[in-house]
Amino acid sequence: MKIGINSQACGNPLDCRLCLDKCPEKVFGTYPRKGRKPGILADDWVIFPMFVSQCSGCLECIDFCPHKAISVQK
Amino acid sequence: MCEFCTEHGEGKKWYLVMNNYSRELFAQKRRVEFFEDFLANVEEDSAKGVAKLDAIRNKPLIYRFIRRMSLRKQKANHYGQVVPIEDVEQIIDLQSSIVRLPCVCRKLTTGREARYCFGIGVDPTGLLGKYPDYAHSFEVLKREEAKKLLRSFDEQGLVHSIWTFKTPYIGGLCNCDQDCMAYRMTVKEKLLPIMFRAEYVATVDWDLCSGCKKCISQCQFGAILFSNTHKKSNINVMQCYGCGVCRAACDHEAISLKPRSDFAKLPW
Repeated sequence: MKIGINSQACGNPLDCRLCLDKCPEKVFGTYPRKGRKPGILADDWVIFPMFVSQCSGCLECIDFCPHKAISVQK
Repeated sequence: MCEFCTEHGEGKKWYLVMNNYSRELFAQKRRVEFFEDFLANVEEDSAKGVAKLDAIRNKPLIYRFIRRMSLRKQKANHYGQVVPIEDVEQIIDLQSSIVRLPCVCRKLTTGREARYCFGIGVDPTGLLGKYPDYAHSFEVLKREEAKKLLRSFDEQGLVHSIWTFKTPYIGGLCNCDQDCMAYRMTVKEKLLPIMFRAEYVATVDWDLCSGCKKCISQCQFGAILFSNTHKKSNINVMQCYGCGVCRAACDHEAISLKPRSDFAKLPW
């Protein structure tokens, strides 16, 4: 399983967080980029797939992402 | 007794040894630098580290090797142990300074701020003030306040754990649930153990158990089973982490903690 995130399409990870909340396996994480802490601006933050091996392939993240920024490949 | 007790415990539980919290120890072995680096980069470093380890999971040879190396590094730098509330209260009594902080793990896994973590003994140096994301919601607690808070966390079913900054110095006290990275890594994903189980295990007294099942929802580790035949709860000691939060849910005081060392075959 390969999960790609188009960080340019993903607008505001800190306020949206739908992928973090909706993923049943809790694959995603979010952090402020190095040197950008505490991360006041939205683009200081990135969504990052952490536990990719846990992904069950339900593809709910693709449905929920309002910016269509997530892609899942087998 | 866990591995750290024999190494750093002076014959008792390692987290009850005053020396493991001392300012002198904190000043040694570049701990201050380690702590600063930890505060500045922990989210990105741990997320990427986890993802790397996760990516090689289906390659057993490399995974076993990297896992062993990471475990050694983790034990030397930042390792935890689950501690039941009575022992947490004893730890609080040893502290001169307690500060409440936003939880790093929950920020990473949920993107939300949850103020469940405590810095113990690390504040007087003014270290945390340098980091705006910790400083803005930073709160200095008195011992009694801290104990009261911890009691309420216990009732909510949060598991207490202590964390080292370059072992054996103990600088953090966390209150974890299933969003915690240590839980994900050690219990759920079983990717890399980064905390020990407590020095105890919970057992149910069937004479007192009413079969109300309240404890089952309180257990974060899924260690409590229910026997429908007997209408009693039962604890799977192999899965029990000994955190003792199930006791807060029991109205009949049927659950008690026993020393883990009394059981010859239990994992730590």
